[in-house]
Amino acid sequence: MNNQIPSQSQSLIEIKNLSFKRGERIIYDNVSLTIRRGQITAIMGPSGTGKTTLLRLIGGQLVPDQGQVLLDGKDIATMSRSDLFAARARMGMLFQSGALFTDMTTYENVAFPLRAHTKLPEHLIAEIVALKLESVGLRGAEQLMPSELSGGMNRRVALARAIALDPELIMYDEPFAGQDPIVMGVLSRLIRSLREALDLTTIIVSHDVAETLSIADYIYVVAEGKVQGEGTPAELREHASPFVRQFLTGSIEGPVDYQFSHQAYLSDEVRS
Amino acid sequence: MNAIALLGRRVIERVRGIGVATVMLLQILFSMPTKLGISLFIYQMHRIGVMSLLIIGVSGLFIGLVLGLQGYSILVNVGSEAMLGTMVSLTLLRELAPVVAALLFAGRAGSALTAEIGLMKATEQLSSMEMIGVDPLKRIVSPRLWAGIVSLPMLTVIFAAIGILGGKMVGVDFLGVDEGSYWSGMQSSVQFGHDVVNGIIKSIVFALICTWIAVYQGYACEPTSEGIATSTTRTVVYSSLCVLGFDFVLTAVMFGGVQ
Repeated sequence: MNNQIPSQSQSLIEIKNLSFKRGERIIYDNVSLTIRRGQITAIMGPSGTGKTTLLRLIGGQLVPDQGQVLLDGKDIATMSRSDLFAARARMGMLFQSGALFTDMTTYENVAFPLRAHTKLPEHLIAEIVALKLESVGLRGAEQLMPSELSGGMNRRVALARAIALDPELIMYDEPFAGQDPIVMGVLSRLIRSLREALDLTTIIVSHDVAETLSIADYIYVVAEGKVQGEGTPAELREHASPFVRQFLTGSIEGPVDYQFSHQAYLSDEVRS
Repeated sequence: MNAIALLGRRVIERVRGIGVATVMLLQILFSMPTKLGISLFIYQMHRIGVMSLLIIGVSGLFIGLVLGLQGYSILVNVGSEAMLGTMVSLTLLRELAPVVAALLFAGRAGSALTAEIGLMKATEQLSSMEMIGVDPLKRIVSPRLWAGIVSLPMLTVIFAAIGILGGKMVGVDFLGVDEGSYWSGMQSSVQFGHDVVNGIIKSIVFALICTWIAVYQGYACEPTSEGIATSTTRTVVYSSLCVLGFDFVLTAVMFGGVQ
């Protein structure tokens, strides 16, 4: 694992003073973070802290209320629609549900980005699809429909589709959620080997502590709209922040409320 | 005060929705067709148009049969059953074919479009398409909108033709109206430019309204099962109300003596 932090100039994505609200709820409040080239950066935090929202902000599907999301120095929010779609062709994203196109076969799903962005002849597309499916261990599943795949296979096909165009950046939204230990192991091995083989810049959004600590180079812990802690896995384990400690140990006691905020029960005096 | 604030919020939401839907419509109508877009359009024509033929044909037949029966029973009292062809054809071409075909289209194809696009949104297929760098407006919404706009006028013509044959079946074949007067009455009273073309113009307007509402409701629906159900219902309700409302306005302009 590469724990050395490269210099700032090697950042692919730079998030500067980002603020984002949904209705009255503040999701991010003046957050800044950096995604470095060729590294696996993990964004961790309790459920509902807006981790997936961050991926959507990077993908330009949401626009920040304040601040900037810079891809190679260019602000994603101010890009024209055609520039934005061109920028997205450089990114791959693995959705939590896989999000395969249900009316297409596995083959057509993986071939979809190739057909959309290249003019390759069919025999080359077939070769690339076979290679990508091979890399996720699913060669031979070309003619299966998404409904015929198990949850783990579904996610692996989605991963093959996400890397079909050899993107510079790949974003994983909760890749381990709801997977059995074997699939989890397969996925984390895939994430690591893809990073090494393709020199991919990787962002993982997850709340699976053990699996993420084992593969990430750098981690941001996000809660209550702010970055509560950051560092390499080793640094985080020694982190002083009570948020980080509570999150890593999975304790109910700590600054993050287990209970949803509600009105207090009436006191005995009032009831009597 | 809360009620006023709520009303204001609702109005803002509605106006915003209309704005978004209009931008979406303009983006689709004024984008250049591509080779892939044309093949997707033909596929959707099959799903939206050809697959609606059965319900349109059967409904057209029964409407024609009923018109033949009702028309005959009214006209025979004043000895004018020879006018049956005129009555059936003008009723169908000017009003019933465009309106009933549009209402059936909203129920059969519109609801399916909303549910399909809504489910794609709920299962993140639209988001993943966006992240692949393919615009779902062009890939998913545009072929469906164009297929609806083109197929409903065709279905309306088929509806009217089958209805006229249905009226003939009851009036001429069963009730004994003279076949020559059925067809010649129709020929002398129906003006192509006035009746047929205006009926087709109506159906083009209804096609645009129904398909636009259907694709927008799917595209903007809340990505939950309840959200899809609400949007599908809205598609049918809004489309039906808009078709009936616009029919009154168009009839007033086309046939109502408004010069």
